[in-house]
Amino acid sequence: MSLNAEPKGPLNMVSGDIHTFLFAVVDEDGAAVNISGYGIAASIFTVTDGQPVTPALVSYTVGAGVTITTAASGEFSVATAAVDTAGVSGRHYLEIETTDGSTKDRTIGRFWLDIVADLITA
Amino acid sequence: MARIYLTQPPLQRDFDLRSGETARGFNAVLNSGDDMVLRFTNRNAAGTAVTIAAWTGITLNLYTQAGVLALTETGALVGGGTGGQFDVTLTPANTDTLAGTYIAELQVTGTGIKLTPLRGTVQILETYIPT
Repeated sequence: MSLNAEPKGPLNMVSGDIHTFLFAVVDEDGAAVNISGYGIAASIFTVTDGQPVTPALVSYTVGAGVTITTAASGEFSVATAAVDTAGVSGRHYLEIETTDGSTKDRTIGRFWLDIVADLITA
Repeated sequence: MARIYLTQPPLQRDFDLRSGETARGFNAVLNSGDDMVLRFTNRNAAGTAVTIAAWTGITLNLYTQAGVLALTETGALVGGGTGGQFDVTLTPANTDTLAGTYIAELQVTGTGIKLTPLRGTVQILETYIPT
């Protein structure tokens, strides 16, 4: 297995949107991973000088923005609330970490997230 | 909306050591703050596992490029070492504050034994969700 030093992406969204990202967890052979019982954390960070800045702008967990949609297929979603990204724009960083049933932590997603400033701000 | 596939990294990574030699090509890439077991297997030139039951001390250290010790971990024999295997188990707290490329050195000791079977690098990718 090799990990990429550079985050993937960029993913895109418009500020202030209720935006849903759909993900599926697979193993190294591309087979779906059953994520029943998994804890999933997803956080969006602002980026300064190319580096994510802590603490996170907003964080999501299962039941609070993260929804396991089809556990057997490894499918889950991350949904932003309108207020989460209202008034922000530019390059951000999205990180996703899982904790499986044996409480082992694994970082499974690292993405650049480009947020385009909305023009209709109501 | 397109689904984005996320590859779940394994919780264990396997590496071979060549019995009686220092492996210098070792290069591991890890996420900071993740759980990970590094499993090493001591093999001879034919690829057959060689017992390490006499290795009573196993230490894996990571050093910064400036030579400052950043992490020291103790290895544990698997099955008493007769299958040539030992594990170095990393918990989230071990690497949570580390990021960058480190020099890795493995030292094993025992009665009449003091060897460095591995030199190489470990690249730790910084992650930002707190452990």
